[in-house]
Amino acid sequence: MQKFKNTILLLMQLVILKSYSQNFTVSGYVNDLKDGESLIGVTVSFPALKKGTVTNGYGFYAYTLPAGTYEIVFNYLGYKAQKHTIILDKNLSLNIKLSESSSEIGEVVIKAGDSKGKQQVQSTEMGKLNIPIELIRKVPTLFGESDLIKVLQLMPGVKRGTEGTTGMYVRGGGNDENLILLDEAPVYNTGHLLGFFSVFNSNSIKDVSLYKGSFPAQYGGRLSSILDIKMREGNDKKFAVQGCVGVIASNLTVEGPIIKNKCSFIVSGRRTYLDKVIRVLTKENSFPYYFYDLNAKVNYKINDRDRIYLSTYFGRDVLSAASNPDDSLNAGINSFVGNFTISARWNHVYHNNKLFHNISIIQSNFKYDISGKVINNSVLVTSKIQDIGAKADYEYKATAKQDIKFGLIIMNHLFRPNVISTQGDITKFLESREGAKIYNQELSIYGSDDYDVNARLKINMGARISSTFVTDKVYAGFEPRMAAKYAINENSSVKAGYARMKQYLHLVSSAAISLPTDLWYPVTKNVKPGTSDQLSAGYYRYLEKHKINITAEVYYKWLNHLIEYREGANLILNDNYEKELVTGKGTSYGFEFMVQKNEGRLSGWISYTLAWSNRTFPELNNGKTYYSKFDRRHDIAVVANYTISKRWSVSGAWVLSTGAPFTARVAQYLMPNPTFTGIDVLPVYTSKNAIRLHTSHRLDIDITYKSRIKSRYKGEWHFGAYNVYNRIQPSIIEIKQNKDGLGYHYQENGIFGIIYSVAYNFQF
Amino acid sequence: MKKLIYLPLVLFCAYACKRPKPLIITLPETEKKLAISSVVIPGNILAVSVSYSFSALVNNNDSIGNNVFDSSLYNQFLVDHALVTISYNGVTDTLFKLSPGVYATSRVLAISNSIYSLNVYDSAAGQNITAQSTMLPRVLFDTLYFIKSKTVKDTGIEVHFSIKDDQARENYYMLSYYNAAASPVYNALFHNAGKQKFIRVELYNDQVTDADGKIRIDKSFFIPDKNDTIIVQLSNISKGYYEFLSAYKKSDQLIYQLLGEPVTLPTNIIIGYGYFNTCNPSFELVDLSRL
Repeated sequence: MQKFKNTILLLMQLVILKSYSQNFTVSGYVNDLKDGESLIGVTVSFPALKKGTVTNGYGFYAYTLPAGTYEIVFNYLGYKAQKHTIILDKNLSLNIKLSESSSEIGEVVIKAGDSKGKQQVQSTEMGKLNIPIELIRKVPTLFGESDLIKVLQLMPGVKRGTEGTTGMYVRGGGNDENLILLDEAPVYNTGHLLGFFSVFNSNSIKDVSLYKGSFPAQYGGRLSSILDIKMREGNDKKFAVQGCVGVIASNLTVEGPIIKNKCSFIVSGRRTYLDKVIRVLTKENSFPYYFYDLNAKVNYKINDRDRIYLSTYFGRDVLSAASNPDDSLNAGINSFVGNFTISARWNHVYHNNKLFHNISIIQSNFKYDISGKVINNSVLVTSKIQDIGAKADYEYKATAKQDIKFGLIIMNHLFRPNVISTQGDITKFLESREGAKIYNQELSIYGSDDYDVNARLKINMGARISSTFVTDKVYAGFEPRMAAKYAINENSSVKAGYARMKQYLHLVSSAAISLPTDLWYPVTKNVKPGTSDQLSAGYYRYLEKHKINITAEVYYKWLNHLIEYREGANLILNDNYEKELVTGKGTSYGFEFMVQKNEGRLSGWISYTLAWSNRTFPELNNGKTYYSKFDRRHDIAVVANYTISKRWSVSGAWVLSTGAPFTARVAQYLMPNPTFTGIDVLPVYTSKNAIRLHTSHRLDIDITYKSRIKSRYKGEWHFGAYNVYNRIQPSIIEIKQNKDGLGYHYQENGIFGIIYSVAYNFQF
Repeated sequence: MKKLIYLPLVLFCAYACKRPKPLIITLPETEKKLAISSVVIPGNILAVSVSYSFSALVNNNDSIGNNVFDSSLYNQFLVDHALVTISYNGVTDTLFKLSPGVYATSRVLAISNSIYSLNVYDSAAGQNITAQSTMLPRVLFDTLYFIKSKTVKDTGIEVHFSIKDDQARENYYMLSYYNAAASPVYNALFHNAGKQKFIRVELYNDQVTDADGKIRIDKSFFIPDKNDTIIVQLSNISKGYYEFLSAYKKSDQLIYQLLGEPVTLPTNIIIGYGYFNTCNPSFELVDLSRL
């Protein structure tokens, strides 16, 4: 191990030989004073130099400077800033604990908020959304369940799928083009109850970053976005409990120290109970569905240089309608859909204080079982995907101007689709089968350099080499990543970037319906990896006086080797799905604008997206280009939270979105069958996705009352309403007879009208 | 009086509990077009059906709201006053009206590899369509036999056949089985009134042939009457017609309508729907009662 470390250090020294000899590094972790949670994205600045850095995903920072005396300031939104004077005549370890600013009205907070606002302007990152976790809890949502994905859907460039669900389409890409990482482990199914609730329990989440363009080199594997979610580590000072009792679900989080200041844990669980309530009220099992999930994490600070983490997520959707022997049909259905992830990580700071690594071992499983029984027939269908892999990420703070990252990831995927077991007469039509075991491996290495060319210009150059091994074929891809920032002044900048992404998996699902039973498959000899090339540029401005961030970005994305399904393709239980796929290309382009205010009595944002998303497949729509099903021309979201008093606050979200395109049956004709022995009626459709649903809009509100403020036990009531003015939120297309009885019409119907909710949050 | 302040809140809640109104989607008007189908019957007979397309949302029992076919609908959309001509090898023949919407001629010579041009003029709507089709060589079964396969519970029918494939060209085949009850012509001959109809159409291409260039197929299927008389029809069809029939089969099945992508049916009709085909089939009659 020591030999390996030395080799890496030697390599770094060769690359940055000049700078290594005269500079010293200040480094350390930044944590919350109250509970010991590491703080991500804290601005570490040297005001005299007008330079600085930010803490990484583990709260670690490092900055290299020539020997001297410096003032160093730590800034983080919602926390009191800390100022220290350091004498840098040797490498210095400086761990910081920040205390929360009292966010009560009237108290002045020293310019902590400037850090986030300026960070966005000063970094080379673009197309990145960082969602403060407090914000997730404030935004009103369906049934009052705070939901990370639904908050993301209110951001520019992120569009929602079917109303009320957690489908997420980023910059014209499909739902399967988003890589979702929970403490480094990929999560394949992000929705409970057909997607109406996301699997992420907001009480267990610490930080959320969504990348939709100009992707850093350490991320890859999907074409359109990376959603990186970090779980909380747990309070290492004292035991704490928080929870929420809601209309259909409740959650409880317990955290505390195992060894004070060294080792802590957090366990967070959630379950719906509509099944139990209905059973008590009706004495019948008329809603035999529930879901639950459990997040747990343990972390241990071995010393100032080494920390280890073990985190896991486990969630299930369960439908259990048992058969009744008294019923003549004796019919029953059972199903469960579940994710499981576990990751073990080791953070280490090397002795020169410049090199930091995170090594992870990851496992992720997604499985579903559906079994049904009618009379003497039974069928069980099972599918699963299992990932086991390892990842090593290194960060090297070479000089004050240079920040280098490199690493590798190796992942073994096992796919086991469509395992079927049948009994009874049904075996004549549906035979039992073991299903194929498909293995493939992905290997990627990456490197990037964030370099300050001068006081105004900063560039980030990187690349990723990815590869996958499938039967009879090896695919490899070079993925260059580039970004540049030019500072117009301290509070405004322009940025531009380019990123290529490769995707070696795809989701095979029926286009007509979306189910959690959609299957993931690897690329094959014939189905090539998808590729996206994205160019983006933007203008960023921070209005210091009003604490407002303004961003405007444009992007153009070329997508190649996309897959779609042949016309009439049927993918249910179809192992020979490859024959049903066609390949083509697409483009997405658009303009995104956002005004965001994270501080003060009034906070929130206004976002607007103007976008196009097209597809061209030689074998679809007569080869003509058509709008993809993710195409929405306009999207507007206005989200606001207003603190009325110490006890009362109100928040609202108004969203407007152009309707989704679809293919409608517009005509039909009579056709004698090929033998002229009968007549059929054949359909005529519009060209693909030529008809659009209506523009949808709705208003959601939430009123919060804090019942206890000063006691150790804190309570908070939430009274909410989803879709306040009760407008149809289209999610179903129906064909209905006209009122006069003459003919039919297409109509959009929704699942939800206005939905009231009440929830009680507590913590002690 | 003070309680009146709650009235607006109560009224709002009452309003809000109303189910919101669905939104009607306005579809573009569809132009009425001619839809064509054709069949060649041994004896130099060519029949062409001509009908109008109609809105998917019209008030009839066969629109998308209902899958039950109403024969009165058929009559409504049949084209009864069309001038239908067929031209090939310098000959032009005008088809006579056989029945409403069906035009036929018994003078068409089946000349392999000749191009047949169809022209239909509908004087009422002033619409004109044209189409072309090549008559492919007739193919015969190399072997064809049926076997009754008995199990404890049921009796099935197995069919085994082979076709000698012309390796010099790309070939597509349509094999259809139907019983006399399904055919207006054979129904009269075999006195099958009241019998359940049986129609099955299968499509093959020549991508899988054995060493001696033959396509061999062994299949079993369910037939309502195991003593019925089956007409087996083999046609060498064009690639275009094969693609049309493939799409036709998909658009006709409920499973695809529910779970599949919409199917666009290809056509060789210029400004129209359907398919003009001139495949020249070979027939076999099989009496299952003698198996």
